[in-house]
Amino acid sequence: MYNSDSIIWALHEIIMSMDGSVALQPLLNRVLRVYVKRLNCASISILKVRSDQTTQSIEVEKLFSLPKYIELDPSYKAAYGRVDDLVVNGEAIDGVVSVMTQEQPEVCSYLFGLPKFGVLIIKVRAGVFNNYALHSIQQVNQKLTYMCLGCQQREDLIDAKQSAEAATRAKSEFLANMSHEIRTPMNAIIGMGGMLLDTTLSLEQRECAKTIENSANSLLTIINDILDFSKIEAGKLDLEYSDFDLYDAMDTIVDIVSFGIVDKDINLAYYLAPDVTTHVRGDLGRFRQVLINLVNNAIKFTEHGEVIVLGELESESDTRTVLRFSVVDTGIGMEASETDRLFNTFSQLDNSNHRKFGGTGLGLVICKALVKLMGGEIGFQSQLGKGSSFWFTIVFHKPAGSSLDSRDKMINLNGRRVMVGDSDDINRRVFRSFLQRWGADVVEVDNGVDLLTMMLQMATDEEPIDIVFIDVRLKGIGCNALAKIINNTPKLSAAKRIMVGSIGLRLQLESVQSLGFDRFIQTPIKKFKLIDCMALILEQEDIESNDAEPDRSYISRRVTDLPTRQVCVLVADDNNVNQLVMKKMLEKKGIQVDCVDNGQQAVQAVTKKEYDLVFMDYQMPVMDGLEATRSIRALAGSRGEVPVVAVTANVLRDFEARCQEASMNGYLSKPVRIDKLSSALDQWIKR
Amino acid sequence: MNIYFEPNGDLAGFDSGIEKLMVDGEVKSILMLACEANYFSKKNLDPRLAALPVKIFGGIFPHIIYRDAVMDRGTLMIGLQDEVDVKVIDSLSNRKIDLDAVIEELIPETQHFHTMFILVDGFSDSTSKLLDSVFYDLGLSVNYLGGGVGALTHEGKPCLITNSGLHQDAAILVMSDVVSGVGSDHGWKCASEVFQITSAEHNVIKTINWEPAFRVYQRYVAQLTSKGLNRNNVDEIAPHYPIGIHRFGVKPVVRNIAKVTRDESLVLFGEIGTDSYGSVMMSTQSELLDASKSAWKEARREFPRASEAGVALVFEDVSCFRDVNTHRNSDFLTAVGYDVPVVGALTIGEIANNGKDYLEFYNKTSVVGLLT
Repeated sequence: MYNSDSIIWALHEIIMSMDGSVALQPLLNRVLRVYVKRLNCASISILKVRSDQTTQSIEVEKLFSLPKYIELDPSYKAAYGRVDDLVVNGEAIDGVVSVMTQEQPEVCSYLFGLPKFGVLIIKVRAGVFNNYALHSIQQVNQKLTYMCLGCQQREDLIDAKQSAEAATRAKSEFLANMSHEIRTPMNAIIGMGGMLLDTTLSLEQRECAKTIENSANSLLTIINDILDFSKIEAGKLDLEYSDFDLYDAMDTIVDIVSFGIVDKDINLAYYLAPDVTTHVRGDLGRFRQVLINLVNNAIKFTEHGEVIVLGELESESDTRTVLRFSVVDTGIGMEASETDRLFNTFSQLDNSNHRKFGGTGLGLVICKALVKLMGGEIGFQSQLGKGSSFWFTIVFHKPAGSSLDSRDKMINLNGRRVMVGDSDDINRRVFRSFLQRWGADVVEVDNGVDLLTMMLQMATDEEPIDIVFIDVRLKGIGCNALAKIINNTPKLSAAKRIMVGSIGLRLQLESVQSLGFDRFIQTPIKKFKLIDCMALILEQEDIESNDAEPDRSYISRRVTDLPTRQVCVLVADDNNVNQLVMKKMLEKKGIQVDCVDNGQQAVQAVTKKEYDLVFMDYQMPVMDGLEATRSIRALAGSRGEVPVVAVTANVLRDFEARCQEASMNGYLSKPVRIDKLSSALDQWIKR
Repeated sequence: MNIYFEPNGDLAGFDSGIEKLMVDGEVKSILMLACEANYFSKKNLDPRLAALPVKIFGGIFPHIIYRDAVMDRGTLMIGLQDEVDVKVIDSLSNRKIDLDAVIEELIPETQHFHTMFILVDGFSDSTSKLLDSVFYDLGLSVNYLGGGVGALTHEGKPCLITNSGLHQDAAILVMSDVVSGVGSDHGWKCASEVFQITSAEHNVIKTINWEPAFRVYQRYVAQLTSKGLNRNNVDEIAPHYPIGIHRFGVKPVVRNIAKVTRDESLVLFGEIGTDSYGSVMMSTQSELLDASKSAWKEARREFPRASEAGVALVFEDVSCFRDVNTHRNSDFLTAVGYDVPVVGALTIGEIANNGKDYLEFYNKTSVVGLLT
């Protein structure tokens, strides 16, 4: 009756509809609609057959059907009951089964086995499909089977990937929550430990308290690492951009890490190449974190020699500058075979049970993620027994305005001859870069003999040295002897003498002067320490020359100079231990402190009394810190403008935004450390 | 079942017809079939439709059929004694609408009924898509009966009738407990070799066998008639040579050609898919008459024996009914067992299904629905 080729045309259209889908449901939705149209089906359904190993039974799942409520059709129920005929050992096999019912003799359901996948059920007018048609349809079904299996495998892989990602996210959330919970009691331990150390203690008690403080700080570092890592894993780490001076940043970094070299024979120095733009815009905190991590690692693995931080220009445009920082050490280095897993999570080179070097194994992973976030790359070279060089690049933005630090203008060394006597090449390079920046003619020597010889020669040539830096470890002639010689030699005695000593050398000015020096400066050389030192030398010259009132403005001011009036601070925290820690810290600075237990009381307190600053816990019962701040901001007059600083152990992403939204002025993370507290006071208390 | 025919096609006749239908209080809903030549507009009809105390549904067609005669003007109002549930889908041609979701929302899973009347804007290019979604939702558990409404002289005129007024670019789905027997058939046969639709979009065939569609169609038609087909006589020649889309096991679905575009594409009444296979079709008057008889016989066969038919609702394609009708005679009526009032309309495409074939949008097909 009908053209026998029509099955070929219909099936060709079905095959053409199978291309292009990698997801199972869209594939079935499209392809089965073509099946029903071109084969003139009354219904169609595709079933997935699975073997349940536990119950030794098969599971049949309807993946797609046309119409969707196909189960309502009695003839479908009859066909569904025959699915088992096409399943062997829990797997669908090739084959065709036809099912007719007495209720609907004019239609017939055909079950086509889709090997290893499932069964396709097609309902058509009875007698329409002859053997040729059935065979042809089953041929096309093979392609459908392959496509379904491909989609299924892809979806299985996606499911597995999503499960793994969900597990990782859950782990990260757990870690973040745990870190948060741990930080709160850490506040009390570090705060109280610090306070205990400020009291009169026996030697044994001091040792114990010091151990508690050191251990607590170590633990805090680990918690911070875990928190950072979990933020990175959870994709919740954002950058906070601000304008800053690289010298400021480097000075701070050197300050922080230099404690690690106190008991070691290490020279620590940093040097920024002259072409480096030092006024930049970037995430200061994260930049500092990366560099501190690398320098601390370098110090950890170096017993003798030096750890040098170099900052160089990689590339530059009108709006951006790419800087490359290298941390070069003369430490133990690594074998080539060890370096592959260096940036892997929780990977430590020394995995023995009795590791000599501690740490979470997350530091470099975090560094790598942070550097990537800041648009750069990280890498290293290392040689066993010779040392390592870790480097990274960062893309900084160039802020609008002058890039010259105004403090540079305060030191004028034009026409002055300055001699640097230091046996260490890098230290001489650092001195030279700063001193030349301020206009000095710099002469370098690496031993005491040359220093004296040069000074005498230059004096004879009527070009006497005005200022001489003498390192305590200068080879040839000891620094004390040199100072005496210079002091006792009329041609040389006019030169100002500055002793250069390492971090472990703590000297009072009187002691320095008794040794024949005018000043003392510690390595690592920090720009602003050197500015202070040079300013004092210049001030001394002024006094000696004309007794005029010296201009002290060039002595860089350090923070925490509070106003002379009585400062009042309110602390709102539901945790009494935290209240006590904050109170003690603030009272030590001569600040009057009131404490309240919740946000509501904080609002009442601010209504009644004028405070200079409010430290507001983020999470409190009755009224939380955000709501309390909003209520305070609603107050009329200066009471509503009191600076409010949030204090919290919650340091996840949206926290800062919420604080800003509530018009808080800033925030401190728990545990509150004295330096952070001082910075907050300095920033927010009006003078 | 009360049937009222008003021949003037004016508002007074409409008012009068409604009044007469409602007089005995038995009418629960009204099926209204009107001619495009009637004096109806959205402005004058909408308030009347909104004010009716019962549900009304229907359409404005090129012509309507009353007592087996084609009417150029007039209004047919058929009073049904069952309440119906009328759903309207507006903006049918909006591609962003997920028709599967719309239908799923409109027709509750729990709703059971016997017959669905589907009336759709005959110029829509989304009718097949709509029927695919209806099939996906309901399958063949109910009988379907309907067609494309519209005015041939005013493409784009609101022609679908509901209580909410006249709609265009829309479809109405009417769920009814009316018992029905539905039959359909066409008398068109393949007159050319089979070709592949190599590029199509909605209701436009762009290429056949990778050549511009009109060029290929023109060649095939040239083999069938001495009248040369060109762009100027498409309206005259093409209705006699529609395109058939092949399906396995059943007759091809016929698609009428609406127009030829500048880029030699063929615009059809109803969608067509890329990669489907087709032929140019041809028919004779006797074959068309036989198909009409066949539709009647199928409707009779499918009508439940326990029920008694009150009316025959027929939808015939507007492009070929006149030829068929002029050759109908008493033999035909006897053959089909003409014992109920025959009403209906000449449509722009037909919809019919009695539960055994896939739900398709037809052209040039006779559709007969015997209703209780």
